[in-house]
Amino acid sequence: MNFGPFVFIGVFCTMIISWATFVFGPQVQIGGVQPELTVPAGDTYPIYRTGAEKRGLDVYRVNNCAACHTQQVRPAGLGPDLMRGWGMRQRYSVAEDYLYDYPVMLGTQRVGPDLANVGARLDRQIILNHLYDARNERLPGFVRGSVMPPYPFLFKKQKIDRTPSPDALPVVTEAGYEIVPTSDAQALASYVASLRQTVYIFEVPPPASDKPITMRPATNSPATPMPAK
Amino acid sequence: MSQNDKQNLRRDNEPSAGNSSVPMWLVLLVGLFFYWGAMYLDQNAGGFNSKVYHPFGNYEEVDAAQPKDANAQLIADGKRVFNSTCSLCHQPHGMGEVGKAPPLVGSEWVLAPKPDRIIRVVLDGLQGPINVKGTEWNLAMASWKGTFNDHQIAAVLSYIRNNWDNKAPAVTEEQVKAIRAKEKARTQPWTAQDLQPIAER
Amino acid sequence: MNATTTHPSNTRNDVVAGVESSCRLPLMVLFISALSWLLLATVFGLIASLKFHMPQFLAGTPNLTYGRVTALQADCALYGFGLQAGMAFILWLFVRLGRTPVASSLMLTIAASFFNFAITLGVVGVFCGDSTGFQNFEFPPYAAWTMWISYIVMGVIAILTYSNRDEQQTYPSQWFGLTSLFWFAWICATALLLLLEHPVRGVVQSSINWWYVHNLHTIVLGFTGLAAIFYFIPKLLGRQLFSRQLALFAFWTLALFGSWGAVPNGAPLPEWIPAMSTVGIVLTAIPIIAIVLNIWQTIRGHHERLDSSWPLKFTYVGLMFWVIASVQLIVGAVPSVSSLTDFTWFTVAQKNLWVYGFFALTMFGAMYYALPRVMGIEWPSPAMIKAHFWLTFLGVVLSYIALLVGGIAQGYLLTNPQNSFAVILKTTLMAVRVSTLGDLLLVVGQFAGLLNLVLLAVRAAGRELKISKS
Repeated sequence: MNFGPFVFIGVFCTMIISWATFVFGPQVQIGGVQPELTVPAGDTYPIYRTGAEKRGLDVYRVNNCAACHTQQVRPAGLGPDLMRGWGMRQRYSVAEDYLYDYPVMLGTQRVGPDLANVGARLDRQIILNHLYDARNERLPGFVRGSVMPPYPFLFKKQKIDRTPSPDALPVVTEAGYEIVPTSDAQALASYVASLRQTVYIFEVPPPASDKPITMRPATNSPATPMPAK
Repeated sequence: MSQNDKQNLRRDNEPSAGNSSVPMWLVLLVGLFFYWGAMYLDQNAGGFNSKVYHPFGNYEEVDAAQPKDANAQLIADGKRVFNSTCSLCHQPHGMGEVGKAPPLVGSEWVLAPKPDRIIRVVLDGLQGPINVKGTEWNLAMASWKGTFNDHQIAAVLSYIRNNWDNKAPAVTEEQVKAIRAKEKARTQPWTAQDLQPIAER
Repeated sequence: MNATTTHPSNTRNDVVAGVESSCRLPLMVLFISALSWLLLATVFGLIASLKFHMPQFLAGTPNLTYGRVTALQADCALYGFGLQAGMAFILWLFVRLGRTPVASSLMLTIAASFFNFAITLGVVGVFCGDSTGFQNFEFPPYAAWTMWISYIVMGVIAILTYSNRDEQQTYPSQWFGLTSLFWFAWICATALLLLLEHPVRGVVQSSINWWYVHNLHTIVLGFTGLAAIFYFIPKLLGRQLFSRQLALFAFWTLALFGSWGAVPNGAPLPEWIPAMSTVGIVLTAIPIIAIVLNIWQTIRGHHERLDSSWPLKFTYVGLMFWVIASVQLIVGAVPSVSSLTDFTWFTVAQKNLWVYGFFALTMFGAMYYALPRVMGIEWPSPAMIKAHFWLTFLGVVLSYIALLVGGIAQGYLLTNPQNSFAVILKTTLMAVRVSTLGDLLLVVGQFAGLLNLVLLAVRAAGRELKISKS
């Protein structure tokens, strides 16, 4: 009995079923998604990333930050994401949030916290501090016991030229020198700070309760930042 | 050693496959799993709609969860009035029709910031020449004072001011009530000329 | 019941030997490079693992960030090792079961060299920051295209070999092998076109990425491993496979449902996509039951013979790992479980078990059986085979259990918002430490395996030299 052509056609059919479900179907349904109006404000969403934010996405991709950080907030009942304050109240991630990204790096593992809405939780300077060294107690926003590796190659040491640079980090490694972020670090921090899912759209309507929508405090920096002195 | 095994060895030890059939219980199990799968998809697939995410079961639920506009009910009521009465002349698309009624879409009369003129038109009707969007019309519109109450008139006006591409503040029941009281004495339909003194803003 | 053999037994063996020697060179090239990439993958895995103990470790080198190293680990294991070892085994299987020489030994060797060139290009690309950013598909376009084309060439030669076969009767392993070849060509083409060349918009990219990764694991690697299981277990036990129908049944149900891509529950995609994915994964319980039943009925009454030879032991343990990893995948797809386990070490444990446990062990089994027969030389060091088995086995089990427990603990701790992230990290760090030990054992094991293989190759080369001199 010659099973060859039979196997080929059958396998092709099964392949088509799976392809149609997970490649073609999503493309037909949400591949042509257009920007939506936010609810209730009526603004256009999402906003196209430009300049440093766009360049920062490439720094994120190249260093594969997605190996440790996800960018997706699961709805209540499918994970503790909202409870942990990773998303705004009842604001889970939806397809529109990633409309303009390439590549979309949702990530698969949470060695570090979720970053889908990190721009609303942390300010840009703290993100830069974390990139330099997340565990350095002299830097505001440090996290004791973090395993985030430092990224010294994103920073450069330069001689202080009369007045210190306004971007310099509050650490001193050598007298007369300062640590300033490179343009890559600046871009990456701008990108991360631009990760915000703070508006409601049709797919994720604002919660019905009358309570004003407020952010929970960030839960990923448990140690109260010590005053940098 | 069984007959099969001997045959097997003779074939240079290459394994052969036996002829036992798929057990019945496994086939039944497949049916059971399929049933479960269908049930699961029925409950968790959101009707295969692209707008439905986890907490919602189907599109209607998502739609119902949208924040409620204060005027939403009023406009919904107005739609009913419009479709049953006004659309006969002004047409369901609101573009009017030659010989029947002028358009409502983009009409400066409909979209006036203050609805005082248009409330009067609906209450007592209109006749004679009138300019709408740069075109002269000369038709007659009936009075609806006796047919609709204040709420219905406010509703239908809110609807035509916020449907199609129109966007203007809704009309309240109080506004209609006040004008009805004020123009109680009127028996004749309005003319464009009569309406001129009434403020539009 | 079987096609009657036209050759008497004694000449048949000569025919087989003659036919098999046709794939000497390509098989050697494929296996040596596969094992080298696997060694490299485990080294990358060890580096990545060490970074958890010392975040500063190699932090100054931008080329060796944790992200890049973990990506390279997966890529080397999946493409460098997985596809090449799989190709070598499928090719040998087609040659042996079809009783026909390989269609073009030279072309195949050239294609294999190009394939290795592509992987090298990809690894260097990712290393230098040219990664695409898609999980398990990080190779930059130029490398990915080269890889795909050389895979197609190898695949066509394998399929030609299959269709040239002298023995018309097919055996289940051949269907599995054939499917694996088609499948990779297809999913990789889809990913290349829709992720790199004409990228689709937004999260459809992620849907395709998940689908690709899932299919690469369950079908491309999975079917290759299952082909080895279906072949070696009956063969080395000297038994008949219990049922062709049951194998056929498992084959079709697994091809149908095993390919419904692992989109995590709660992903930012319309609800039906993760729901379909969950249903598909749960329905793979049917083929799992069918395969276990089939193999169990085949082994029944001959359990004591299971550790009679190393290839059989490798294959059988590989089968057990396949069952565990598949069941874990099913359990992890149920929403109430996935809410705890998704994005934790739990899923990493499953993937590692799949690649280093199930797939690698079955391929080692195939290699330890096939190469001595193809080359006509015994393995230089049986002790190293033993070391390879035990080190790999212990490494995989240690790292699997550690990450599994660590992942579940991580999931539970995350559900309480009072637990700060740093505290959770501290708890899971223990698990990661144990798994580092596992990673170390894996490195040593792969080193032993590769050394043995290289020694075999050296001996074979020496013999060829002697023959050509005399």
